[in-house]
Amino acid sequence: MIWLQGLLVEEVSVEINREPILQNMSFYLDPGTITALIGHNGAGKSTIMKTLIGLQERKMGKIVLNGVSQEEDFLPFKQMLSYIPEEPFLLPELTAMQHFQLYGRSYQIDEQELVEKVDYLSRKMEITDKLDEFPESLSKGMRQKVQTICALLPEVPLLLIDEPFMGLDIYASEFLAEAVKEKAEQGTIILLTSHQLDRVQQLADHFIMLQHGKVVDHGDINSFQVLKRRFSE
Amino acid sequence: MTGFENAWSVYRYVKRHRFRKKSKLYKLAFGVSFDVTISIYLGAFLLFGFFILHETLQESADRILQLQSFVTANYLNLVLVLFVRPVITSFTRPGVLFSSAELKLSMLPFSKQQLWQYCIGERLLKTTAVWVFLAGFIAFITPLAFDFVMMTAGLIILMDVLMAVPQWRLFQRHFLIKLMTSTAIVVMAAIVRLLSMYVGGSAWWMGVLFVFLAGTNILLLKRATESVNWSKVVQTNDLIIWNMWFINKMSQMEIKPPSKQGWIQQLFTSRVNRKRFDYSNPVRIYRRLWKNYLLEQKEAVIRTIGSVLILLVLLGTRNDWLFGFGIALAIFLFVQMASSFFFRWLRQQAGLLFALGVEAVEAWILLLVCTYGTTYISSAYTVLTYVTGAALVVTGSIMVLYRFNKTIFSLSNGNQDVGFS
Repeated sequence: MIWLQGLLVEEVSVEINREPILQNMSFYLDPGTITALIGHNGAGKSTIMKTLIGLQERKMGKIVLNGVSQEEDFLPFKQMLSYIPEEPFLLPELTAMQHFQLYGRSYQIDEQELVEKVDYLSRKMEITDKLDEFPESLSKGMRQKVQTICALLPEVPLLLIDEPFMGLDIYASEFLAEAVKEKAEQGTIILLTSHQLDRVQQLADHFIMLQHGKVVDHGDINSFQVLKRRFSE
Repeated sequence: MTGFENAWSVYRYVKRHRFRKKSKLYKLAFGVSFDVTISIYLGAFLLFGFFILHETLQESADRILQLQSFVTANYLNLVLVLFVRPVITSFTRPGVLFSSAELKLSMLPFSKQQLWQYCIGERLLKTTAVWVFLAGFIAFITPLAFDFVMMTAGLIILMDVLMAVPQWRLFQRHFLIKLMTSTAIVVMAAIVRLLSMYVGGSAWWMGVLFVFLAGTNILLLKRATESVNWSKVVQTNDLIIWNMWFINKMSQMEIKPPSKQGWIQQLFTSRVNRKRFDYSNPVRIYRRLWKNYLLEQKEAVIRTIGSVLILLVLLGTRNDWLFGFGIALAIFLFVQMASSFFFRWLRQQAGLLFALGVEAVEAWILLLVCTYGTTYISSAYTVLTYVTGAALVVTGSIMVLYRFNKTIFSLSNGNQDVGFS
């Protein structure tokens, strides 16, 4: 069987407390594309993200990334994705630097490469003086920066970003946007959610509009005016 | 630095860092609290204390050996208590320390199920180590037989192993299901106890219970990590892991648990209570503020009511005098708590009244009503406090006098007896 490269989400349904959150959701994302999930609060944007990383159990459906099925090869599937959650989620046991080491070792990044990447990213994100701090002594913005660096470290085929600019200052946001574009150019599939439509328009190539857990529209980001009108409805 | 080969290596990595961070915190707190001199004295006291305890226990060997034969004859009771205890604990604790760190690791390329298995394995190892050490220590320090101590520790460990997964699964369930299950378990334990009393065969009943629990474990293990409320689990476990008593005391900072979605919370935040209310009506605002304040202070309210009830039950079973004394003490406690509630409430909520969009005049009237109302009530309570305080003193004095007279009377009778003989 020949599998297409890319992310396939087919007929995925999720229920939380017997309430349908995602209903038969299907879409396909090509490698190297940046796709924005758009929708009102409660439309199911974060739920699809959590389902992709396996935090949320799905009732039915199929998720395949570059030919690797989430259901059948869960760990190889997870090895191929990286995730920035909406709220920074760091381990209280580890300092910022130890977080980077954790990610580096988990994704089997070469030691020298890891050192260089951490050095580059921490300088860009302006957290070089906070590397030995534990999460509780960092501000929310700083924690978000640590979380973002962690997710940018591995070279994986899929990068999931839930509200990428939440809590980041203007410079960090600009850098993240650049880094995301660069990753996409290298062939990474980027799936992001955001309420900041102007930023989405600048960053994404495609959009998927969700409503009540269903895909109601999708297409090129250039049809943004239509999208904006619908979103405001 | 090499990559993590599997979930076990990353689990150990996090555990190592958790241990280091906790040790560092303990060292800091210890350094603040104890200097070298105090530490030496404390060590010496502990050493002497150990020898004194050893001597004292050896002297009361008869009683301790009586306790040993009593426990040996009642092993089934011990097992039933160990059977019921985790079920009751499941209302507040998941039993397996799967914290936010493990959840975070499960978002990386590691299996959540494996991480959960390591957590449960660690719990069982820790329990075994603690109980084996404790049993060794008890066997060394007391005249209890080594076999008996080890057997008891073995039973405790076995029950802990068998009850870990049922407690975990039960923690995930709704409050009512937990309530029904725990009631059923208590009834089941009572039936087993009664049957063993009438039919006999304690060992046989224990065997049946072990087989039943082993079967339950096999059934539950398959779906141990399915339909789990992870946020509730990690919130509770993080609190257990990082709420260190010694550190809290030394830093004078207490980590408070997040507001629980317990049944009391749900009761007060039900749909009816969440509905909009007529906030232009000062009386409704007054009621709502009181309700919220009581909800905030629910732990203090429950603790007071619980203490008063325990006091009455404990003293009521002794004799009439003590029961009377208990009632006076209960009223005293109640009055003290109620008046402090009024004062605090007034202090906290007065400013809020103006921020609620109530007309200024109405707000003033409401504030005056509250102030004077609470002042009058609290004054009345203060008077009542003095009255109950006085009643306490009088009751106590009468009791002492009564005892004294009784002693004098019996002594004088005793002397007469001596004289006659």
